[in-house]
Amino acid sequence: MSQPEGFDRDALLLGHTAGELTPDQRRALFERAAADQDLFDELMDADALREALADPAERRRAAAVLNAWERRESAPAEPETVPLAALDRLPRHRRPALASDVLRSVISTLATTVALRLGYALLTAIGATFVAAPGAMVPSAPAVLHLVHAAIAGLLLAVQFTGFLKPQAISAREHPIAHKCLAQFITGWRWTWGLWFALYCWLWVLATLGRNPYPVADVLNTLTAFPLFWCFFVLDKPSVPAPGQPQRNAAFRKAVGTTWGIGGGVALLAVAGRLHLWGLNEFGLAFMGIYDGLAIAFLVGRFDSHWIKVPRWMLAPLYGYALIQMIYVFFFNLPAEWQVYTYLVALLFKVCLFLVVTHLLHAGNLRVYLEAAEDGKLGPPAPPGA
Amino acid sequence: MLPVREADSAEEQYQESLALIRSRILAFTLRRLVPRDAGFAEAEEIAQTSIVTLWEQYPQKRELAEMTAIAIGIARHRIAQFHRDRERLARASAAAPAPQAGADLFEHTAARETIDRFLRAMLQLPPRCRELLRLKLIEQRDYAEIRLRMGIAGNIYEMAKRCHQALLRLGGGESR
Repeated sequence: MSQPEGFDRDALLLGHTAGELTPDQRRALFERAAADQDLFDELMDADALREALADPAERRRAAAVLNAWERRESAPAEPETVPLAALDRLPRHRRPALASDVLRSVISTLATTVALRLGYALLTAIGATFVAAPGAMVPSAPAVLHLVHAAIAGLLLAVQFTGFLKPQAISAREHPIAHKCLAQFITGWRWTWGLWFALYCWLWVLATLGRNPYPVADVLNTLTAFPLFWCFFVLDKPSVPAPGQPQRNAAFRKAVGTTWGIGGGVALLAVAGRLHLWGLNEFGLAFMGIYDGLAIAFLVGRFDSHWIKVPRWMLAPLYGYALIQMIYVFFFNLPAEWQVYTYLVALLFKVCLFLVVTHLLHAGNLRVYLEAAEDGKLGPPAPPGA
Repeated sequence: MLPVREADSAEEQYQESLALIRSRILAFTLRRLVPRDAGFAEAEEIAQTSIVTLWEQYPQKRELAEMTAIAIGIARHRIAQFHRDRERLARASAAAPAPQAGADLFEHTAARETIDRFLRAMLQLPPRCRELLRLKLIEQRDYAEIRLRMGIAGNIYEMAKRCHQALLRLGGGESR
């Protein structure tokens, strides 16, 4: 009786219990078991477990027992899994919620505008002692760069509607909440690229015609940040109502409304600065750069989760992309060649962002994360007695 | 570990294989059953009937690995049968009331008993081990996905082997 080289009894026992042995491995294991009493004993146990686990009903029961045990040990972060059909029967709370969301947006827009205007007054008072008066504008990036940017954005947007690098689906039956969250994320992600495409098309057309693309381009630029915030909130907060919990997504709606409002304020300030209204100048664009940068930073920061499992080095260009947004206010005062370089770096980072998110969707990292969230496995453990 | 001699003929080799497997089953039953539940005669009976079943019902199986695999299954069912008979006897001796309608719910099958025994063992394992085994054995996920879900950067396969070994050690003390 010959034994294979490098016989790993523990690995073969595990493989046997998991039902993953090849015929050769199985033969080697049983042959060795006939000659080794300890292994024979362990194989008796492993075989019993394997046979018991072969019954799907028993596996489901075992999973339910363990889930109940885990829930006892940790805080219930999410409600029980429910069928998708049940979600569809939820009472519609949309209408009253919409009114309060819009009101919240309006209030936060006003508050942001006023607060930033005050902040701007303070900054200009201090900054005037260091910075020369604006006015010496250099020509912006060549039109062809806008065209390249638009073409790439359009291409990467179009790819998302093909079967190429398709996102891994989440079963609506097993994880109805995660299924909806994934759809929300993908929607936000597509809007991001749609708005980037629109922005660079606009820049290209206006630059080709020799006309000033601003302040419309500034508004579009601010709008691109919004779906990024949306994607972040989908990953960060319960964004889907559940049966018996129609207000489960209240924090999500609140955050989205507030962010939208702040974005409105930022856009308003940028436009006013661009048009030199209300005593403002182009420094109003600084807030837009911060807003855009924060949108990317928040989203990329969420990718840092161990459940999403993005290699750290991949995050570097993404954080870089967030940082580069901050210099938007200075962009127009850079030498022409610096503008071109900055523009190209931004394009590169943008493509990196696309590749990382596409990888997360296609490889299933986001699926795992969202399913874990629905299963209540994210978040800190509950305090004793909770 | 017992050495296996080269047999002169196929029949001799077959007989040797039967004897070897019988000795393994007997050693197992002696080790696991006799200290608590069974006498030597009962342990020997389980080993003998297992081998006879193998010999009678699977005469075409001549390869040692195949014979061992089948014998393990037969022996497990013999042991389970032994426990069931013993429980019935105990119930009858204690003049236990006859089962009511629906009492079958409490009549655990061998599979259920095995699962319960290993679940009890799993609950004694560290949470990471428990999670890994749950994903691997119960949810039947592949290692790449488990690595992703659990955020394991090291050798997940080694970890799975250690956890499985601990599970067998904790849950396998009573094969029924």
